[in-house]
Amino acid sequence: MASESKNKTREIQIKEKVYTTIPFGSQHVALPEPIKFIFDTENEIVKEIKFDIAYVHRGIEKALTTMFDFRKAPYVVGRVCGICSAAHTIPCAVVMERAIGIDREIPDRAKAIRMIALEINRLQSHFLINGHLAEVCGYENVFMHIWRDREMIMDLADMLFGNRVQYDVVCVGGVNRDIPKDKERVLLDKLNEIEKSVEFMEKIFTKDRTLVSRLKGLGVVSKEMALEYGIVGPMARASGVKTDCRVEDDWGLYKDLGFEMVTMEEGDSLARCLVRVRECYESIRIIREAIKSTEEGEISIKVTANPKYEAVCRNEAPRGELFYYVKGTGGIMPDRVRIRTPTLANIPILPEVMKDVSYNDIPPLLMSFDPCIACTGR
Amino acid sequence: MLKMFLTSVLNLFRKPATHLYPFEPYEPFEDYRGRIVWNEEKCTFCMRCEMVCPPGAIKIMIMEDDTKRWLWNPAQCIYCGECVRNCPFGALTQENQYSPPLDKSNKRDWSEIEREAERLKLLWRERLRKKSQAKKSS
Amino acid sequence: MSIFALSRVKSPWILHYDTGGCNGCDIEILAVLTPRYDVERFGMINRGNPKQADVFLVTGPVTKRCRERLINLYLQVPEPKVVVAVGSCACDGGVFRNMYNVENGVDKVIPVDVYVPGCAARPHQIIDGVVKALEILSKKTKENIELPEYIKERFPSLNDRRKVLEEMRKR
Repeated sequence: MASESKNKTREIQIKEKVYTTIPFGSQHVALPEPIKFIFDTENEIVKEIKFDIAYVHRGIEKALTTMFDFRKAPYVVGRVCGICSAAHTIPCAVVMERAIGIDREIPDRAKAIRMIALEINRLQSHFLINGHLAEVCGYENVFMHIWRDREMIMDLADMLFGNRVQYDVVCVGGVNRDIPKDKERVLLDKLNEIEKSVEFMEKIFTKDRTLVSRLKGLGVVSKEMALEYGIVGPMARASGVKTDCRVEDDWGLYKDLGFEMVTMEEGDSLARCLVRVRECYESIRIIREAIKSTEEGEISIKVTANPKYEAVCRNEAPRGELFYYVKGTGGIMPDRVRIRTPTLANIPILPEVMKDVSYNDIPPLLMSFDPCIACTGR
Repeated sequence: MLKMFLTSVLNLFRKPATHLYPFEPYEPFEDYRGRIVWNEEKCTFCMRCEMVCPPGAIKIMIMEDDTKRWLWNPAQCIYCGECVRNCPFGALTQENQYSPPLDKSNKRDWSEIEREAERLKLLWRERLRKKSQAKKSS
Repeated sequence: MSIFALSRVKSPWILHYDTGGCNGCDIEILAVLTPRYDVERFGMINRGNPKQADVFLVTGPVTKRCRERLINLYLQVPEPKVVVAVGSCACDGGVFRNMYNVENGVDKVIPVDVYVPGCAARPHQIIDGVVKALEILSKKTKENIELPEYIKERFPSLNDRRKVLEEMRKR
C-alpha cells in the first residue's frame, strides 16, 4: 500500500512540468511597433505562445462614420499604416466612387497614375523587409546596403508626389497631381539603377552559404495547410497557391498590360524571401508599361452626389489582400465602413508553425511573415 | 575572396555616401508640400478652409467687434494641401520649405483655442440672428 | 563644463518607443541611422535599454493602453534626460484627435522638451530637432532637474520615487 501511494505521488510530480516564461515585450530594440509575445519554453524549445496585438487600436472605423465626411476619408485612411499607405487610399476612393455610381467614368490617365503609386509603394516595402530580415540573421552590413539603395526609391516618390512616405495623391473622383514629360524621363532613368540593386539582392539571397543554410527548411507551410487556414499574399504564393488580387479585381488596367504571378513550391522562409525579390522585377516592368500606355488628358472628374449604395473593393497590398466595404444612405457620412487587413488573416497560423522551434530561430521566422501590426489594430 | 579584398582597398579612395546635413545646406524639390502661407489681402473669411481640413488645424476667431483672425497650427497640420485646392480666391499657397522644430516657449495649447473659437462662433450666430429679426420687424 | 557634462553631450544614446502610431515616423527614425543621413557621426546608437539612454524619442498619439508603459519607461531613464516628440500625432494628436481610445498627444502624460512637426517627419527635420535637444541637454545637471508643476508643489524632495509614480499614474 505504501509503495503504491509512493508510486502515485512520483507520477504526479513527473506530469507537472515547469516552463520558463520569456516575455518579448511591447518595447524592444528589434521591433518598431508595440506588440507583446509571451513564450513558454522548455530547454529553449518553444512549447506555447500567447500574443497581444491591441496596443495600436485607435478607433478609425467609428470615426469615419461620425467625424469625417466622405471626401476627407482617403486622407484619414492613409494614416492607418505608414508602410503600405498608398495601398489603403486606393480602395477607399474606389469604394466611395462605386457607392455613388460614377466608377465607369474615371479617366484612364487617373487609373495609370494610381497604379504607379501602388507599385512604387510595393518596391519600397519589399526592400524594407528584406533588409530587416538580413539584420536579424546577423548581417548588419547587408541591412545598411539595402537601405542605402532604398533611398533612391524615396527620392523618386519625393519628386513625383511631394512627400516620401504619405503620398496623398488619390482623391474621390480621380487624382490630385499630374506627371509632366520631363519627370517621366527622370523616372525611366532611375528605374535602370533600381533594377541593378534588385539583382544584387537576388545574388545575396541565392548564393550566400550562411543565409541559405540559416533560412532553408525553417517554418514550412504546406499547400493543404495554406488552403485550410486561408492565408493571403506572398506567404500563400510561396506555398504554391495561385492567388493575386491584381488579376481578380478590375479597378486598374492590369489585364490590358499583361501580368504574371510569381509562385514557388517549397513554402519555407527562403521561398517567401525569394518571392518578394522576384516581385520587384514585375513591378518595375509594370511602371514602364503604364507610362507608355497613356497620353496627356484629364485627371479627375467633379463629384456632386452623395454615396447611397453598398460597395466592395479588393486590392493587393504589399502583404496580401486588402478588403473594403461601405454602406451609404444618402448623407455626407456613410453608415458603416469595414476594413479587413492582410496580417489579420495570416496571424492564426503563427502558433501552429512556431511549435518545436528553437528560441533563437524565432526572429527570422517572425520577420519572414512580414507582420504589420498598425494595420491589424487600426 | 580576391574581389572582396580589391573592393575594400578601392573604397579608401571613394567618396562616402553620406550627405552631411547641418554643415551642407539642403534644397528640397520644387513640388515638395511644405509650409502654408496666408495672403491677408485676398482673404474674405468665407471659412471654407476650416471646413475642409481633415485634422482641424485651421481656426477662425471672430471677436466681439466683428474683427476676424486666422490661426494655423504647424504641429497639428498634416501638409496634405486640401485647403490650398479648395480656396476660391487664391489666398493660400504652399511653399517648399519644411517647418522648423518647436520649443516649450513657441507651442500653443490647441485645446484652449478650440474651445475659445467655438464659444465666439456661438455668440456671433446669436448676433446675426438678432440683426435679421430686427430687420424683419422694421 | 566638467568632463562628465562634455562626454554626455558628445555621445548620447537613444531610446525609442511607439505609442500606437502608423509607423511612418518610425521608419524615418530608422532611416536616420542608415548611411545616407548618418546620425552615428554625432555618437548616437539605438540600444533598447532604458538605463543606458539619454534621449527619449516618442512617436504616435498615446492610446489608453500604452499610457502606463510610457510613464514606466519615463521614470526608468536616469537623469538628466531630454524628451523629443516626433511627428504631428505626438505633438497634438494629428488626424486621430478626439477619437475614443486616444489621449491627444504626449505632453498630456509626460513633460516634453522639443516638438518636431510633420507628417511624416523628414530625416532633416529629425536631425534639426535632435541638435536642438542636445543644446538643452548640455545645460541640465543632476542637481537642478525640471519636474512638472503639480509634483513640485507636493513633493519638494525627490526621495520618494514610488509616490511620484503613483501620482503620475492618477493623472
